[in-house]
Amino acid sequence: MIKYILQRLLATVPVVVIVALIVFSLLFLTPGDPAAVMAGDQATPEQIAQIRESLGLDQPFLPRLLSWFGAVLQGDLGTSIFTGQPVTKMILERIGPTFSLMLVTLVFAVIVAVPVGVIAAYRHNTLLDNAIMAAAVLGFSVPVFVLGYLLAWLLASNAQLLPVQGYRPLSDGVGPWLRHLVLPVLTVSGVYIALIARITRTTMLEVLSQDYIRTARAKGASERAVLFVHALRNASVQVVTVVGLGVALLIGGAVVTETVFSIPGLGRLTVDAILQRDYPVIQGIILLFSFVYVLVNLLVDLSYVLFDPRIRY
Amino acid sequence: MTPMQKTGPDAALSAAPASKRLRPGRFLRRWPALSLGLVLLALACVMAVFAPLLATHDPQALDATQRLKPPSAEAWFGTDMMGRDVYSRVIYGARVSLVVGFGVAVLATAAGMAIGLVAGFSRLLDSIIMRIMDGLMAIPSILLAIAFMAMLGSSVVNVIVAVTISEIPRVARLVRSTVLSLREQTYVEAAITSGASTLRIIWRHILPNAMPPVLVQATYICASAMVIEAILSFIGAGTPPDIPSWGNIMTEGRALWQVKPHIVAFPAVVLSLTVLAVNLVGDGLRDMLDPRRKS
Amino acid sequence: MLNRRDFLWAAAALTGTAIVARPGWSQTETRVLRFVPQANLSILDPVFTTAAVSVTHGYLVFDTLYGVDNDLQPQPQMAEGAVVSDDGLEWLITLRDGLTWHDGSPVTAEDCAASLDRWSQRDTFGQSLRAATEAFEAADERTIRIRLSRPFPHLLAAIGKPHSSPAMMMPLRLAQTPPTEAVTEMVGSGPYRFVAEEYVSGSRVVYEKFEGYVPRQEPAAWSAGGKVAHFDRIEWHIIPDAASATAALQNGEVDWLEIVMPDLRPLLDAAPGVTIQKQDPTGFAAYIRFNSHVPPFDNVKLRQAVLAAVDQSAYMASITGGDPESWQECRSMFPVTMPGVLDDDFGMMPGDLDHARKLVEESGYAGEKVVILHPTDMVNLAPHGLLTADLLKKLGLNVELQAMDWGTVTQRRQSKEPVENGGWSIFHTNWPSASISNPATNANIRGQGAEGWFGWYDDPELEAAVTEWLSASDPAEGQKVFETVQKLAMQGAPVIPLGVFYVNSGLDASLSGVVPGSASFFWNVS
Repeated sequence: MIKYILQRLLATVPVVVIVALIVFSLLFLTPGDPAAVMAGDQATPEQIAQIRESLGLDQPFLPRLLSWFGAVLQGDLGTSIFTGQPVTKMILERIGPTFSLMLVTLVFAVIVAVPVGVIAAYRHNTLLDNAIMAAAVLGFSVPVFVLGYLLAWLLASNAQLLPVQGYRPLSDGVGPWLRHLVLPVLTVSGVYIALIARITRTTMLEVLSQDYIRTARAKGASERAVLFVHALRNASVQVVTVVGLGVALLIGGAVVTETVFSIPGLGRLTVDAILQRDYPVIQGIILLFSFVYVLVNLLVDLSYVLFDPRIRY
Repeated sequence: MTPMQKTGPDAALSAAPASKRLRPGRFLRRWPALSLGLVLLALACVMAVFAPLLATHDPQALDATQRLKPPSAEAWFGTDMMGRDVYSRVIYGARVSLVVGFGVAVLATAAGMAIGLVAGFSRLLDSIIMRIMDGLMAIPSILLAIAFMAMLGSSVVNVIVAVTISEIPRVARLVRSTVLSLREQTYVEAAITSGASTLRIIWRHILPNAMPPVLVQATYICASAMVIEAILSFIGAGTPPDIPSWGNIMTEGRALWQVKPHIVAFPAVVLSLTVLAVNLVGDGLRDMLDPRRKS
Repeated sequence: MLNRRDFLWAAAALTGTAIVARPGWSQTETRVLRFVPQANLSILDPVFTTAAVSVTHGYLVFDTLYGVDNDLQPQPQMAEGAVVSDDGLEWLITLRDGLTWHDGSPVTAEDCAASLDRWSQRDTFGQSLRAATEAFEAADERTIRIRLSRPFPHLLAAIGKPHSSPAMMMPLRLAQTPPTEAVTEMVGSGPYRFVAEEYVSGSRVVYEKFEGYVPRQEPAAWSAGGKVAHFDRIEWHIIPDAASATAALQNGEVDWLEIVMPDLRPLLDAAPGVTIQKQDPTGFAAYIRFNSHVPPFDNVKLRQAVLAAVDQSAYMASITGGDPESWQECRSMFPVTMPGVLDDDFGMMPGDLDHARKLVEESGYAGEKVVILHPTDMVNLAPHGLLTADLLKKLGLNVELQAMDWGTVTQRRQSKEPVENGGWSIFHTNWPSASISNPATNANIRGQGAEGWFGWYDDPELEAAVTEWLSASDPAEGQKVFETVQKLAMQGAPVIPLGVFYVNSGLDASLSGVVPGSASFFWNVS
């Protein structure tokens, strides 16, 4: 088991290195000049050239790549061109809102989607099943920001029930924290719920037609036990896999939702950094997100052991 | 999503003749969701093709005196901040969404299949290619697309390129895993030992079996591309503002959604319905092509 | 899903918590002012960058030797006063009593001389001063001496300029930072202290009242007079989305919204407890900037053709929400709200398309491509790109509107190449009126050629007039030269004025004493 984990961890190294290479090259080729953005509207071309030189932006590709890469290996993501703050510090300051949003969405979506998927499978081909599946397709189809505005309009603007913007850290209390998260979480979870519910239903349908379910039923197990203990446990591997792959959706959703609800998280930090060409910040965040994605999917693989006793590493 | 893998060589073909015999009425009853999707998609195509006939105004005509008018007999969907007619812009916007959706679906599928086939047949290249694909997959596709757009500059073609690149790995993985599982099949092994050329094996055995799941995947890519185009335009990094797209019409009305909801609402509804249509077609195709789902 | 009753109960309970948790006005000792700036604060050094938000931040943390009053005349701020030698070649500026840096050490003439030295390398007006300067030095602890090589009558106007890059004073060790690097440590002598631990770029900036600040006795006016701090703590909440920011003010989540989006103003007009105030009574001047260095707009005739065609009302309506109170015509290359500026277009701006088409024909324009750099992420610039493209098409020009983000514009506009090789023909810009009020500061009209601002307008005659203006010691003579500059600039048309527009701030009705100015000032507010 430990050997397997180590192997898998080692296997993530090339992925992260490739991500780093892709991101760095992409940004190197991107037009735009942080020196010019920094200097402001009235700076003269000469001043901009001086700033560019003092930032080392006039260096060619390879030296810049190597010096960045060397620093990253030592855990140093560099400093922001604009604020002069370490990228690590900037990421840590902004990670709270984004991870709160992602985590609450993840939990909320699983709690809603799995039972819904199970019920749809159990009531296969009934009106309820069709309604649930129709809702799921709709959930896939409404773009996340459209859903965001719709919810803000329904729940905040008209009913004045919830704040439409901003974020409160958990240190301000669980109440304000959750209150500010309700709309963004509902927004991001739309697609995610649809995805998990569909895969749960599909997998459950397959599992429910298996022999051992019939055996369990014949042995007089209650329907609830059959569904949630025997069948769901066997469907879990598939469901958990999709939950893990869906983290990519979650990240994308968070980026957009932070813009809609003015949440000062990593998503907005990235978009701002791209618009300003703050290279070290962009590289740092994308690297972090990719690492999270790889890590989550590693955890997913490892979790198979919990759900399926036949799997051994 | 995990790919549905076919088990036999002719799994895909069995469904097709059956549905061909269906008359429209029976087709509708048998595949109601698919029919709805096809009808909606056809409507969107009509909008795109006949935009000049359907539009009531020049979608680009600026009129400072007609800013932010609510929907009326004159301007059916109202006007935007520059006094342009939202209805006409929404009609023309269909072109961008469909071109991006279909363009990305075709390009990503073609490139993904090529890459997946190479990876599936060449052990040497396999690990290199798949590591790159893993790397691309690990970067959140929206961020990747935003970064590409910053590099390429905003134009419809660049949106297609940026979104295609982030969608290729999904197809490549699907095709590769299909190839790897098919290679284990006895009839493919037999073909290989009998000395058939790789191209012939691909053409005769691999493609027919890889196509159905790839086709289904292509529809989902089409839907996802439409959504990403809208998101990119919404963030301000997508279709240039002088070409109306549903995403950038919404961007322009975004700050005013509380006071002038019509600018955001109409393109939002049309976009959602079109994506819905593509998804319904995708689901329908999947059910038609999957023998296990025929009940 | 929660059931409905639980949901409502939870919402009510949470609202209750929120009300209790909201920072109060009277019951707590700390008085907090919550402000939404127009943009994120990412560069802390107001001398390094000309970004407006950095200037606003600078006025909190730093102080200037001279400020300007409501007539934009220089008045002593950190200085007690200044004397100039009879030959005009030596200025002595004395510091007033009680000036302290935020780290507790006293402000010395040496600190200030070094700050002036650094500033004069960054700012355009400062560079003009520097060109006439031999040394910025300390005569003694409290006296700054500026030795000149030729008289510079506008010296106090230069070091007291309110916008952009005002000459903000920093302690010696910060002032020794190379001018090409931004200062990141914030130690000033202004009325508020920057709280570095709470600074989160993109989210929040916090200032605390500096107890050691001694305000002047005069009433506050623009950047001059007594900077009395009534709030203990100022919090900047960065909310980039205009709709969210407006909602935050409506709901009382913030007290002061620096810029109200014109189209959202009706929401705030209707909201109880919110007042609207014009932020800068001199406004912002908007322009079309030509690239005079490459075809086709290296041809003055073609620039004049566009000048003759422009209808300012369309441009102004597009960014002021159609509110006629929020803008005025500007038939001058300088903002008409500034002193000494003539509202006279010298017959160059008839707003006549047919006449303009004739000028295009006379210019010999042969269908060369015109590239407009079009930043879609700038709300006050994006509409102008569309309008100009529309206008040029009507004039029969071959226009390509290239959409991009502002980051790309700032790079693309550096290119002196022809449009076929990635060059450009037009971008749009706007300036706070105070920042381009005279020939020395108005980079728009300067004719320095390849050395000058993007667009590289070349006009030796105009440059000669600017030099003449800089050395004119008699105000009447200076005004005469200024008028010559205005005429030459209009005829050369390096830019096209699109009007002067005003920006409104939204304030919680309980706030009073907000001083109008070219930046948001936080003193005197209570």
